[in-house]
Amino acid sequence: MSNEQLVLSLRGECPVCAAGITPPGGVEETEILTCPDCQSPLVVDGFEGMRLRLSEAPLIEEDWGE
Amino acid sequence: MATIALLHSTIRAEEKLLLEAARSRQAVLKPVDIRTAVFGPGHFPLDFDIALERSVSTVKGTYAVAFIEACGLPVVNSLAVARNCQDKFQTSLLLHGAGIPTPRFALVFEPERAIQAVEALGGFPVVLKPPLGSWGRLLAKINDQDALEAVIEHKEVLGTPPQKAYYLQEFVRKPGRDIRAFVAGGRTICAIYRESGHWITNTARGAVAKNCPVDDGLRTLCARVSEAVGGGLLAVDVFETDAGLTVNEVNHTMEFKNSEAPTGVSIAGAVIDYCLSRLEGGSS
Repeated sequence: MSNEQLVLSLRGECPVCAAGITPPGGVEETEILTCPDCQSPLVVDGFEGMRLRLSEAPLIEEDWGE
Repeated sequence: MATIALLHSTIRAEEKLLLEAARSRQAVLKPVDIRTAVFGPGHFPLDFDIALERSVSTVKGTYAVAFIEACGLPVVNSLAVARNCQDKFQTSLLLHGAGIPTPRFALVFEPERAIQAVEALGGFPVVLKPPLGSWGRLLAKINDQDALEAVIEHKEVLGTPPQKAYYLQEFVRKPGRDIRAFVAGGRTICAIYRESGHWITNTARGAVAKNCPVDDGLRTLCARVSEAVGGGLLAVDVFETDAGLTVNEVNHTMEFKNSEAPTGVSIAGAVIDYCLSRLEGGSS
């Protein structure tokens, strides 16, 4: 299986609306994704095999920035 | 092969570009989620050659940098640079002290003093900013005394203590854009125009990035800014005025995902190259 196929096989479930989520490309732990159904910002907590562990992303805090 | 610790909180598009750039340069970029680290002697594994601080949280990033520097390892950017850039008042003081053109500014703690400060800045309009803040958030263009009193009263009642340090800046009329220059060790690697019909020209607030040719004037100005704040990797925000270029702010954990395409420059690659050059004894 190619790396691209592996990425496409990754799946998770939105913790807010339970929609199935397949990330569009390579995904990293702690990356922020947006649920395509409910638009909730989600964070990748980790991987269990080909399953993404997702939770609601932290809200922007006062000291966030560049 | 050099190992660079990527000190991060949430992974953004920039960090993914950095991971890709490191892979193509035979460098190991080791992600370290600083939110889950224990920064105490003997607790934190110092299994890298240099650290690159990319935390979206300024507070957490600064503590991580302080710890790793104290352990004797280099960090990009250094603690001194982080402190000089994260606080707008500190940055303004350094720019002013170095004779670099920058908008007039003042910092006050009392509403009555704010009115005095505005008079000293040349009158309304002025811009009220949190000294610690980013992405154009909580900026207020204050057009008259009524608005000044109202905004400060809200901050006095609702704000956290850092929000009650009132940094005021002369309002600079811009030609619908400003310039963001990306600087590595004093050298300007590329620049963008940030175009917007709004007076706030952060790309985080919807401004459009277009390539800005780097001429000698911008190059020299950015080299002076870099020297004033301590070098490192910087994003220098510059206004074009009738009197010439003037430096608004300096960012020390720059975001650049919208700037690589218009400039054609791999900023992520330049960041990794700069870290590797520091290991080879390059300049700060």
